Amino acid sequence: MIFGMWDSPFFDLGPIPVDHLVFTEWVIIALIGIIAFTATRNMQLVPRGLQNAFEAIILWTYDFFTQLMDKEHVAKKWAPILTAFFLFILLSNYSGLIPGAAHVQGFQPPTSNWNVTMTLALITFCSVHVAGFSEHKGRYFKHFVSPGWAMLPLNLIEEIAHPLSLTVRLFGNIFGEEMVIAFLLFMAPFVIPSAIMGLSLLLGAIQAIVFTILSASYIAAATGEGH
Amino acid sequence: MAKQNKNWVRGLSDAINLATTVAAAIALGYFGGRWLDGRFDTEPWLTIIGFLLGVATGIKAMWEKSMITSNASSTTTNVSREPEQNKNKDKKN
Repeated sequence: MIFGMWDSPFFDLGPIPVDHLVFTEWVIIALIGIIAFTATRNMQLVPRGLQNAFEAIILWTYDFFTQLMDKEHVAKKWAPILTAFFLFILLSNYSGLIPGAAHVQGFQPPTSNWNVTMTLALITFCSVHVAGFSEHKGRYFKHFVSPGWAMLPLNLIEEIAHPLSLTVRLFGNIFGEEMVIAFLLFMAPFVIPSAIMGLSLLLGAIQAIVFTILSASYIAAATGEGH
Repeated sequence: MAKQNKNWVRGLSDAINLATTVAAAIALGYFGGRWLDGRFDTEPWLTIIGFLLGVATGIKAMWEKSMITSNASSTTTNVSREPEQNKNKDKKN
């Protein structure tokens, strides 16, 4: 093992090997699912407690994405997946701060691996084109040759650059932060790493916000009037 | 207040988007070109072409964003000036 990178899978689920970070992802997904289920299990007309908090979060996210995307129906359609991205990335980033992360078997922060960040970016990439096509139908593909056919290579490079930048930014930031903390733990345990871990709280939230805002702005650009 | 929020969100997303898109486009052009050079044994031509295409994509992204921002700001200025112009028209009449 080198800084939380295991060669062998954590366990085998029949013929399918389950990696350490996949197991951590499942735990995070289960955690979000349990909280959401608890909040919506017994819905009341006048919300209280956890239901109240969840309704406030959902209203705020709808408002936020409507401001960003201009079109309310597009924002309402895509806000659930964007909010899910935010919660998943935030909890994944913060899972690296729990003592034992990347050092205990079966416990590795998912966003410190580029396979996970690329998967999230590819979901965004597909969502952007599905959103654009469902809004503009066949006219959507015209933007690849806008303002002329000569711009096709540049437009294609730009389209591929979007998921690449999403992947590398999230992976680089979280992996780099994990590395710094790991090195500091070797050199000066307990005191010095805690300062960086405090900074990681901010960094984890910023990266989750940045990924979500950028995904939303790509969807907004694909569904906007410019296409 | 809502307008202010909108500007804040848009400004942040534009700034992050542009910075990373330019870097990613150049990297994509360069490494894509290098990979193609390796496959077709044409070193260094496709690397150079890929790099230049990446730079051109970055410039295009910046140009498009500046045009959108410029159009949006001119629309806002016109809208904010409208009441003043109407007032002057009323005075003349």
